[in-house]
Amino acid sequence: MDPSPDIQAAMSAGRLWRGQDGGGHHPACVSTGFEALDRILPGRGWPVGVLMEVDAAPLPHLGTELFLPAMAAGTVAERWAVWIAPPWTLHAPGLQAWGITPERVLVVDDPGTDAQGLWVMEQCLRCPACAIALCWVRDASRAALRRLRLAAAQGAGIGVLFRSRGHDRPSAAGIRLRVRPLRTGLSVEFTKIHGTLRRHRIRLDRSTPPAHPIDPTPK
Amino acid sequence: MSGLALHGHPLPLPEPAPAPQRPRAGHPRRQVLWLGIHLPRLALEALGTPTEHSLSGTSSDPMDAVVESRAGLTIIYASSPKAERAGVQPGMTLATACALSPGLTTRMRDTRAEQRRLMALAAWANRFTPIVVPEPPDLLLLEVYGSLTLFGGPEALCRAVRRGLRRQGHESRLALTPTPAASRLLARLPGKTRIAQTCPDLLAALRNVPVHVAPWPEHLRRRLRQTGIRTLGDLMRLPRAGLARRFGRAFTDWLARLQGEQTEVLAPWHPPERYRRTLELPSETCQADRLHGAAENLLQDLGRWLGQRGAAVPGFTLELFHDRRPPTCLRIELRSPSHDVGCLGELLRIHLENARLPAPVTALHLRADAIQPATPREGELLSRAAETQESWTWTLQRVRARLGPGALKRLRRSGDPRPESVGSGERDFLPRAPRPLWLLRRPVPLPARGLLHGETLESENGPERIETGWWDGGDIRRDYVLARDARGLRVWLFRDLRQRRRFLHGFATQLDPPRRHHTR
Repeated sequence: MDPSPDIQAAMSAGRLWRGQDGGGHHPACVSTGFEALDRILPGRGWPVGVLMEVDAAPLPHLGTELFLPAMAAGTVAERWAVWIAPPWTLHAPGLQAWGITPERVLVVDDPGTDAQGLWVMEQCLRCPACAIALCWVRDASRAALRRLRLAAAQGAGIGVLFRSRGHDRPSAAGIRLRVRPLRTGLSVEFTKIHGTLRRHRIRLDRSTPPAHPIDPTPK
Repeated sequence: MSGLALHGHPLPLPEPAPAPQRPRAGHPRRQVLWLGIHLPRLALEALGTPTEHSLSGTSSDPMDAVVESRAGLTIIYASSPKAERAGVQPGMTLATACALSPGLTTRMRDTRAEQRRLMALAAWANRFTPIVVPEPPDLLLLEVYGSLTLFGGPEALCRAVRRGLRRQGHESRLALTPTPAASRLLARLPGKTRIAQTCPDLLAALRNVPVHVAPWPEHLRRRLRQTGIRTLGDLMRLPRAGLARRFGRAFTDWLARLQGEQTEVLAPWHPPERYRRTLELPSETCQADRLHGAAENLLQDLGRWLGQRGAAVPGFTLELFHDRRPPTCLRIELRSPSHDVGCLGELLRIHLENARLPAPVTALHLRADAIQPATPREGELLSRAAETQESWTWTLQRVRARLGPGALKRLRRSGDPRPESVGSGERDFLPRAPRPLWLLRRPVPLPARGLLHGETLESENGPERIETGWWDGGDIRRDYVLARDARGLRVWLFRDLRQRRRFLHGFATQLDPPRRHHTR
């Protein structure tokens, strides 16, 4: 059913807020690099200056690739990408395959504590030279999340927090997503997108080459 | 050039050029007096600790001689009074010296320590006159004419200089004459201080100086000896033109400068500007807030001081004084010189938070050396990018200050196909098969509990054989495959062809990178 002319007029003038797709007014966005994701995000990409939170299981690195095309765009634009307390060692050829310039990547392997890691993330996000900061922690307090959100807004970067606990509690993060592995790719469920009421769950598939079993016992 | 060889004689000496350093235009014949200070044992004194020296007196010398290597031989460069009494002279070989004085303790000469010491003494000598010229390795020249009245005459001034130097542990020889060349020469002579305030006095003082002390090359001195010239007096009696023909123009120029017929232009040295400020706290405290506040005040003052000079600092030191304990010293190094008090304060705050204070603080002392001119900001167009870069530099400095200097790592391209290598090859290596994003810190033998689910693994591509590194001991021979476990997790495994075992070495992203179009 089409909306009435009055409503259409209000919509086109931007006076009407629509819960479904966040209205027509979006902050600056960066394409996620995945068409299926861009389609459901209000600004057709990751919003800039927003804190995001990822619930990744069973292993903490899952879902990283959702941010790699945005990171590549950032490093190509000569901004910086920071990885804080990544669960494993980053392999430079792996990053280059995503189009990321390794010279523009900084890694803080071991910040010591969660609080230190969050502090580093906040410092980096506050600076406009930082395009994206990814940080892995066990948990973060509400105050820390609010600080991160403000820092991201200040520096117009993307902040991605991977935490293993606290996904049942409310958070200041603008976007929250839950990522699980699939045999053919990844399942991504948005539990919160700031500015819309929709909750999306999508499957991202890779073109699967034929697989054949490996003999687990060594020859 | 035209009349240079007129009648076989060189031209008379050119008129002395006015010194550009000092505004003497109105007084071309202004009286000057140069105090030459020669430090005969500076090489020795620079290695010892002068303050200790003076406290315990000169009786207990820390070492007897300083040696240097010259043409493959170890030669005594300077010797202590004690060693000198035993017959050890500069210029001897070490072997000869040890034969004369068996228990001789020696150290290698440190020219940089000497230079530092000389500069420190030059800064100290600034209390006598603003015109100080340090002449490495071991001489200072001071223009003291204007200071004579203040210090009570030439003798009193020389006494004050000698006393001050002795208190700092330095032996000195002085000479006060109207020309720098004569002061230089006479200060090197042993014996009492020579003072010649007027040119006739100077000529009288120079007359009996033996020619072999003059700073000429050995062959020149030999020729003078052969000519029968023993003293400078003999030399000065000879016609200048003939000397110039025989010994060269440089030689006669030096004689002219020695007697004040030709002015020698010396550039006065200025001590480097340094910032030093102490702030006494009203009562001793450990409270972070109060310390921050006090340090902030000092930094504000530093900022004003730098602003007046248009300068920036490459780093600074904050000392926190405690009662009856050595002070805590915080050294803050900057990646590029700065005068931004806000950023300096933020960095100092982190350092203060990290500092472990052994006791309450009674006073703070801020010092900054090596002041540099501040780089002016670029035009409006460029300033935004520059500002962003600067703020990033500060961010990284804060992170380093809090987490330690090694906390931030740059990811480097690897020119080596071995996954573990952290090589920094300039060229990119192009893997034949896709590489994973993540590597385990070291490969885990399979089955890996907790990381992989189930025993069934399916390979997607591969194997990529990596067989390399035989030349540097990191020899590997492996077949890598990209596989997935029962949950669909993509992993990177290899079969070690030597150990005949499987290892888990990394994780690949669940999704593949987009096909890249190479435009270049």
